[in-house]
Amino acid sequence: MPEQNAQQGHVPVQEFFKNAKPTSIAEDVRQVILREREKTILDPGRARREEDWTFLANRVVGRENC
Amino acid sequence: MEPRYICKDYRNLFSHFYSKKFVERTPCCSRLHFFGASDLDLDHLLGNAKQHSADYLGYSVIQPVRERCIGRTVVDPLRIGNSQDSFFCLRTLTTVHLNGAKYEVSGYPFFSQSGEATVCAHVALWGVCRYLSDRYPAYGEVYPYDIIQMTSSMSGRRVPYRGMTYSDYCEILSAFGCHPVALRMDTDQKSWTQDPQTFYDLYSYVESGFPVLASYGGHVVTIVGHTTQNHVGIHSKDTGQFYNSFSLVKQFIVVDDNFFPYRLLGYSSDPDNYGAVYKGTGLFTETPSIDSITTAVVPLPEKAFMPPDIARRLAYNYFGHHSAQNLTTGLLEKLKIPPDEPLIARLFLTSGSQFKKRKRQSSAGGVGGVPDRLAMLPVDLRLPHFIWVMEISPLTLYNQGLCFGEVLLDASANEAESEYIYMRLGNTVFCGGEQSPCDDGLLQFVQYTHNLGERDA
Repeated sequence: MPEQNAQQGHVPVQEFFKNAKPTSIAEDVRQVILREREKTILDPGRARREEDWTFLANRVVGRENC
Repeated sequence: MEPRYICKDYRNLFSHFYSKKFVERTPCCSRLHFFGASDLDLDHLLGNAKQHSADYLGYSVIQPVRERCIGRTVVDPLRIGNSQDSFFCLRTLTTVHLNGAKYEVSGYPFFSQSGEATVCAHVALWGVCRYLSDRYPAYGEVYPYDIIQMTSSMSGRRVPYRGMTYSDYCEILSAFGCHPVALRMDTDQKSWTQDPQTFYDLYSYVESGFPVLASYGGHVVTIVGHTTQNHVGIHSKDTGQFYNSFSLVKQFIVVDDNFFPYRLLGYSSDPDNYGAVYKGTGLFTETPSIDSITTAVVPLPEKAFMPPDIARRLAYNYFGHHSAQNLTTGLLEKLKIPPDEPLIARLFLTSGSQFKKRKRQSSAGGVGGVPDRLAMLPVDLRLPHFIWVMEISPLTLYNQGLCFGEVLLDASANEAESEYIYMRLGNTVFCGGEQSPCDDGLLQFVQYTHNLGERDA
């Protein structure tokens, strides 16, 4: 097999990356994606605070701190 | 003609349905075989099958029913006048035994609805299941009445005739062993551009080689491939940098059981759109076309968790990174391609093993006889069962079947945990947190081809 690889000019991965340079593409893109996700993920606390609860006015629906 | 042929699919319907009717009929069918040559001698055909194998076009079973009698049919689309260069269609190899003579045909299985036992959805689902079971041993063979029995009875009895919905298709495909995904187009059926991202998703599945059940709203057909054009036409860019390769799709190839297989479904403005024959029938709100597709169901494998829109977004971000863009600009200069030429991005799902197989082949073949040394790099990598691949090419390279960039993504990953497995731009390769150029590596390489585009199936 090594002979066949040599005939085709095949370079094993480890050898190919022996003199590789570091790159931050993957990490940079991950940060972009996470930032975009944060914009779209619902904050449950904020959603609860901003919800219109007036339909419950004058209605007893339960008691907290019991 | 082959008389008194026992068709396993018709016999299955006969046993469970036709035999229960008062009117008697034979359990046997006839089978027509088609050859692309004249002055054929039957004895010679039977005694010299190898000599006539290139002339064999396929077969069609004729069922003993009063209406819509075309039963199981397999015809090779590439032997009936469709161009090898622009007609990309799913095919699976079927062996045919004709009085002991062995013929083979590659095509997509077709069956027409009886309108009584089966409706369009049953025969479309039968085609999907038969294609998958013929091609992949993981799926068992099912027959038309099996599909009827898999239909939910929640909306009433299954035969004769009851309209089906995409939720029925999902249920049947799940029972068959697939993991279907349903797409709903948010349009008024007049223009696909009202919901381009969902149409890009649909196209990605077609490009990946999945048969896709598509509904016009009242009738379902199966998309089994597409034809191409060599310019982006009226399409606009999918991102600031790339055109989606959907821009180069001229028509979808569909199997509509009301017509001979491999009809061409174009846009509503396409004069060759087969859907125009439905005009004036009153069957549809909008004339069937690509624009009028309302829903689609795709039979996916289990471990294809990542949807195409996420894969697309990730890949665009990788190629859009400033260091990747610099490399792209350099590649265009080295290849003497004008900087304003459209860049085409092609996204598809495939298995890691098929990808490696094709890379191994292209390593030896290379481009113009020059072996591609870098093609073997992903072969050494540990790949997941399914991967999303995006290839990028300037239009001129794309039209020659070449590209100069590709990125591999794990299809079982979610958006947050995903990281490219490997990326190549010309002769520079990225893997993990490292990048390395190969000075004598090819700048361009061959596009991946699979069950949709392969010519050696």
